[in-house]
Amino acid sequence: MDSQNEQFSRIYDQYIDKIYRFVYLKVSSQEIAEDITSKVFIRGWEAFQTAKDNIKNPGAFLYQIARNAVVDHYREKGRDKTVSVDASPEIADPGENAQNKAILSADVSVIKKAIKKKKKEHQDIIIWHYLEDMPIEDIAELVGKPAGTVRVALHRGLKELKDIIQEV
Amino acid sequence: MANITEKQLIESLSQLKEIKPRKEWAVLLKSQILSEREVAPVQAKSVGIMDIFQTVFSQRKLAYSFAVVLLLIFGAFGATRLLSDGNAERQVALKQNVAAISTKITELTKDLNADSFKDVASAKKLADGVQTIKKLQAKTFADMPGTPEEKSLNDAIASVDNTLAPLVKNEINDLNNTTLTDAQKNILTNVQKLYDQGKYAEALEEILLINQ
Repeated sequence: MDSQNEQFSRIYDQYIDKIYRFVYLKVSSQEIAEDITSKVFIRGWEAFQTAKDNIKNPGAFLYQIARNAVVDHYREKGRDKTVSVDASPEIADPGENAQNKAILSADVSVIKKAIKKKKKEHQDIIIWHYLEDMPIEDIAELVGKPAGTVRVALHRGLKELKDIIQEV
Repeated sequence: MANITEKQLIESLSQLKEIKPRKEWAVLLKSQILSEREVAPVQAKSVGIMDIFQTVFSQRKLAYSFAVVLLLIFGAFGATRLLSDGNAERQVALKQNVAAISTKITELTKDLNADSFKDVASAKKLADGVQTIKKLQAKTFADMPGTPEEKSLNDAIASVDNTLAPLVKNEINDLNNTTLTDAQKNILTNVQKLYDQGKYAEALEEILLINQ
């Protein structure tokens, strides 16, 4: 394995869970999430091989590919508002009993459904900040907006998400 | 979900971190991307083989049929040789398959270490698979001696021995504390000899005879 492979291998290990999760929350199907995530890393690897020096932030780079790939997916298939959210995600065993796991799965479904109802940019910001612990400044760079704007969008997005969940 | 506070919502959101891709899928995707994407012609020829891996490894029951899985992989080795025309392409395809085998052996060894799979029958199947690999190893690596892939496979095989040794020792200790017939005592003596010689797979086979 040459050094380029090793470098991308480390990037892959660091981001495979994050990118899969980001995609999965937007498509609600394990099969589609795997398909899109595969495309993201294949495109990422191709770009890495040809223009490694231009990729300053691999995480931001992969998220950007993932965002575009999800958009492409819906453009190709046509957005299906009634897409099922019943398919359970593969959840790592949290070491809890079956009842707690069931509650966790139920919450995940509700939250996932609520996230999908939000505007695309609010979806991304909420996922990045609250799931992936990405700092506001990094999100601002990723979406090309001032940090203050992101902070307001995050606050507003969380409130809207709360309202949507309470309606469920 | 009525009357949820923002704090509860944030906590619930962080629970979504538990969403993770299937481990087998993630490992295979990485292997495919890093092994195949550099040489496009090999990628086209290898898709069928990797599909076989994916199909087999995604089914847990089959995944634990160690010998079957490993023999299938070596069947794939043969197919790769037939499909590949050039030496360079064959090398890349072999490396890709060896990487997949090494990863799988390591995973299976870890599973064997876990309590749920720490049984003699599963260990014997893994040992059988490794024996098959050892027999084919010289022929397989004639084209790629001393490569990182060969070292990786050797390390994986060594890890199996390291897992089997304490398992066999525990079985011997248990049997020593069990009332045995004269025939079983003879077998146990043989098991101890095989253990001392480092022939763990054969020792396991004898242990299975005692337990039958």
